[in-house]
Amino acid sequence: MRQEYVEVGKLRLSLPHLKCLRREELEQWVGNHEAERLLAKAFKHKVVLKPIHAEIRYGYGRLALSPGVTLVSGLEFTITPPPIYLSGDRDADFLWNLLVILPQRLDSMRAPVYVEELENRFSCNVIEGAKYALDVMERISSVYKIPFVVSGSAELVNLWGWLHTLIKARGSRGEAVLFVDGEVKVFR
Amino acid sequence: MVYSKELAAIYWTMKIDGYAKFSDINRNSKRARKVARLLEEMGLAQIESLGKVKLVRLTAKGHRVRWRMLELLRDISEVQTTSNISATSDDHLETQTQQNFMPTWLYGNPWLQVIGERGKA
Repeated sequence: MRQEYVEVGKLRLSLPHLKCLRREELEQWVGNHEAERLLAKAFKHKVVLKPIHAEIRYGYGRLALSPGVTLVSGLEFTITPPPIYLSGDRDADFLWNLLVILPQRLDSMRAPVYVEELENRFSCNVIEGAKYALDVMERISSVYKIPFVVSGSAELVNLWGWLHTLIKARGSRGEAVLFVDGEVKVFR
Repeated sequence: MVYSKELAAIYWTMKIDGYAKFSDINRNSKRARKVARLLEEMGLAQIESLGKVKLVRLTAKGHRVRWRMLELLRDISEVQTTSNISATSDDHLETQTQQNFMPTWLYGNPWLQVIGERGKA
């Protein structure tokens, strides 16, 4: 499919990518007037994509994922189909990768995205950074219709309106308890 | 009652701080949908989909109504108890109306500025 691209300052972005950006981001990059023009262009563009679904297998069971952002904490799991990994980068590099580089990859090939250890991605202002990153993920997920899987500490559960949460915790007698969307699924 | 719809809309506008999931409005999904439609009809909010999740986001008009109502409430509470809503929450509301649909947590977020600097032409 032929993509239409627009110049956004020094960047060349596809129209679906443009739809992922907030007014505040565009205003900082290209000024108010140009941001307004780009937003109108993005608004007119309709993205018609089939949603990509994924599946998490976690030993005891599996969970089907629709487009949205899912939190996994404390357990080993695999994702099918193979996801795009966003690992390594921190702070501004991580956010830039998420907001600019990832959608460019998704333009050529859509797949689920896996973000490892979200709370360790920021050296300062961790809560603000995590919320901003999750907001970016939510926007990309909504436009490109792909699921995001985020791993991290169970404390992240209250930070966002997750599509699904899979959290493994220790019970009072040391037994492992798995919570899937807040419901106890397995005692071990 | 005259204006009963409008009063209900004001009440729900007060309950939504920027945006809310249907489930945050009311546990009863039918009721939540009805409220969201009412707010949308009156131009106070718009319904958006984020994947499976439906969000009700206040429009600029919705923010204006909410802000005015909070001002009225502050006036009432000043008369009654001489206590008032804190200045910080007031500043924060004003910011919300100015920024339209910008979520409160994003205002002043240092990472937004970092990304802004990096993307500048």
